[in-house]
Amino acid sequence: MTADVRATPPESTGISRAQFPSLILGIIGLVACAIGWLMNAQEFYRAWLPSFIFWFEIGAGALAILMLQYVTGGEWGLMIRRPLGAAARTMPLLAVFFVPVVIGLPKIYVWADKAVVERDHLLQMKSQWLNAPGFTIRAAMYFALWILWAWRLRALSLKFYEDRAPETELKRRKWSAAGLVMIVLTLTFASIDWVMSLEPKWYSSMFGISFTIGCGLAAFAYVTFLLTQLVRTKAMAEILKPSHLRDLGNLMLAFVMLWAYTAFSQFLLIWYANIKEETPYYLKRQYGTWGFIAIVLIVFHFFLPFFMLLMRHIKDRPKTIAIVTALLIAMRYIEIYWLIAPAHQGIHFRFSWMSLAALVGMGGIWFWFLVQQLKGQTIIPIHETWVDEAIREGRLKVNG
Amino acid sequence: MAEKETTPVHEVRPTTQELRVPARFIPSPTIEPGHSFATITDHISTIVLRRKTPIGWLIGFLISLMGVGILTLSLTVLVGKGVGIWGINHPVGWGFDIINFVWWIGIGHAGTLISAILLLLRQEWRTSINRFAEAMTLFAVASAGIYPALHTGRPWFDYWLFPYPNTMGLWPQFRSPLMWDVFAVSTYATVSALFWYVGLVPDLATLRDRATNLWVKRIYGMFALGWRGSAKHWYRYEHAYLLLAGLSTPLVLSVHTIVSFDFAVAQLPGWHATFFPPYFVAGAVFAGFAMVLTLAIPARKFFRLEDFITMKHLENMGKVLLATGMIVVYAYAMEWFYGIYSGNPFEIFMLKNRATGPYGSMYIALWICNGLAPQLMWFKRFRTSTFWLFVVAMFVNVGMWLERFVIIPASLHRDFLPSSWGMYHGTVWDWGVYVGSIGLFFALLFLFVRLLPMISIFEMRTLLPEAQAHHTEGTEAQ
Repeated sequence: MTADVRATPPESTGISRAQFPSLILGIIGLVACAIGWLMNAQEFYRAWLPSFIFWFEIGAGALAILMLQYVTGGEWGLMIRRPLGAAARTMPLLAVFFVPVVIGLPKIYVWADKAVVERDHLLQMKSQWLNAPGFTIRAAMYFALWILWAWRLRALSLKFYEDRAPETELKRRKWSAAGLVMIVLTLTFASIDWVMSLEPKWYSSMFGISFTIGCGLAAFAYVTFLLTQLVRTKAMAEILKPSHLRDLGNLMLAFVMLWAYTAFSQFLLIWYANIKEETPYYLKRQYGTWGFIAIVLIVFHFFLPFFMLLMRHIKDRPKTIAIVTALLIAMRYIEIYWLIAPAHQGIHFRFSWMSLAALVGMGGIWFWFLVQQLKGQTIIPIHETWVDEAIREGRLKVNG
Repeated sequence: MAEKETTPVHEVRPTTQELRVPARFIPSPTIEPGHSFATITDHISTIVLRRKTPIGWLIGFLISLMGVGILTLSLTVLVGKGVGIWGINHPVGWGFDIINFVWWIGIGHAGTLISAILLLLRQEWRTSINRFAEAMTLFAVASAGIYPALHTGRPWFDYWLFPYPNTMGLWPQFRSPLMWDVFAVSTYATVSALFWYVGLVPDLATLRDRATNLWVKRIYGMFALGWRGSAKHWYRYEHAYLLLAGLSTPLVLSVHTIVSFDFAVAQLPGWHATFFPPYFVAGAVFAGFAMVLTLAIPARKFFRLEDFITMKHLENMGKVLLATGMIVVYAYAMEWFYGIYSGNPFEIFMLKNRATGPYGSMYIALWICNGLAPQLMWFKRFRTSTFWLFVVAMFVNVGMWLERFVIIPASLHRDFLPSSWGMYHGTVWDWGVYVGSIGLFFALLFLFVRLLPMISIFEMRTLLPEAQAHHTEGTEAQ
């Protein structure tokens, strides 16, 4: 660790030290998954999906928030561009993690089961959209677009690092603006394909919006959590200010509220109209353990983080905001599980050990890959014009 | 100590200042250079105090007053004869009244968004348009309020909508979103009025101090509530203003969310869609920004306010128009997807009927106005042209009216049973109230720009470089 502190080389954040244990953990998890697959393939596939969606949300949300940052250029993005970009570039890995979903299609999605579809007129009609080749081609398209944008933004940022030309920055902004349109549409359709179609007769036009907001929230929680951990290291300790965390806390608060807004509106409208196509979805999730989880979501995914994030002294301190972000990350998984698992299990709650294995397995590899992406660059984008300005005006202090 | 053995990375690269930056990358200012505290105060307050009433203003005001006349006539006939003079009947029980109510309420939303949300987001460019936009909000809400109040049929019993103890055993139906509307809209109107008035107080004091006529002085003085500009006054003011901004923010969302519930809680195809709440809120902001542009572009020219409402403001509004327009287009497009995906024959019929049924031309016009026209805002050339901004804003004004028409009567007129189908047309009295409410809106706006500073004087002054420096002399009362 004798490298120049002012250039904040990535090693000095110490994050790479966690890389190897993470990889080992990931491999153990995946081996456990493989054993699970040999034991009960159906259970494995069904357990894989929620865990995949959980990690996917962070990657996709990071890409969306990064583009939002490039378009609006607010100072709130000062500290998070690099971790967001790195998470967005985990998309190729996430595409690999998606392969088991494609392989296990008939075991996960009821509409992919020919025997069921033959007996059901509505599902036959829906098979124009819900069919295995269509599903696979669409998923490949979504991933291609996400990878393209993650790579394009990276390339433009590197180019900007070289030439400092406003044209490059403008080009990146234009790509980001178009990318926002792209990602909202692709995430909507991905959420329909991957999650909503688990119960193929049910539909809600809020679903895609709610899912997209969930991605954004997951990404904010991830990136803020990462910052609170990095602040302990030399590289970040003097750079990260309470106001940075406060900005992120406020944005997270906005996303928590948006999430609650979409989730509640969807529930209220379905409860109120009381149409037989729609209500079974909530009836399933409203009693027994699922009902308990629903209450947990209301309290811990909305009320608690909402009130915590209103308080400035919680937002400003790394230790306290870390608790909020950890809570939100946990709640993201619980919500995803609550959305997916009842489709397979009905009113009976079950949590397979394979879900945990998949979560840890994918997470371990994902984190290893993420650190790989973070390496070889400074943790804050100090070459950006506005960072220069911030340093000159004394708003941002660089070590040394 | 930065110069030791290694140069920090951020100093190795040239800064933007050293690069030759093409003109188009230099951002336009929020206030044109060359202004001081005095010129800002002069420029804005003379419009109210010194200048003679412009002839253009008189003509505009008279035309608006004619609208108010039409409104008075239409409402008198309506109260005399009942809502039967409107085009509503079975199966379309909600017609122009609800369309126009939603249209006006939506327009109001931009004012609150600009004044409250952009304040909380520390967007400086809001400063020169917030006063104007808030006034627009108030007048739009006033115009909107006419419709539900009279649609009840017996407006003299409207107080029954409020839950008050009475001997009749009368109690409102709290499970109805229409009831929630009553509370949401009346709260919204109250908070918006307070917010606007509180923001006006320091400027009213300025007008009081600058007025030469004794009675003018007294009237402004009365409304200035004894403002002296002391540190304590400013301290209290800042607190009150921030609190009201915080209160207004959820109201922007709640009002149109509840308006959307009016439709979405029903089981009717075309109304029952769970994404209605965010879709309506985005549509409201979209419509509101279009109306702000419609008003700001001519006002800026007429009163020579180009220095204060700069291209930056117009361009930013163009961007908001594009962003919210994209959300609205998302909703239009996804309506088709979900409709077809549902496999529900009634949903699919509703979509077909929308596009090719008797009101199909309105649906296509809607796509042109709200879907196509705002796409011009992707290009800087159009965003920085007042002409094109105005054209796009006009398209959106029309488009948002069409959207409500497509949602309300076009969904109602053909529901599940073909035997109960029918057609809907607004009668002359429907149009009378509509034109009349536009007249009322503009008449109030004309009075506003003549009697009150349409741009916040004291907030504009904070944009000047002088305001940033730490001067030791105290704030004068002005």
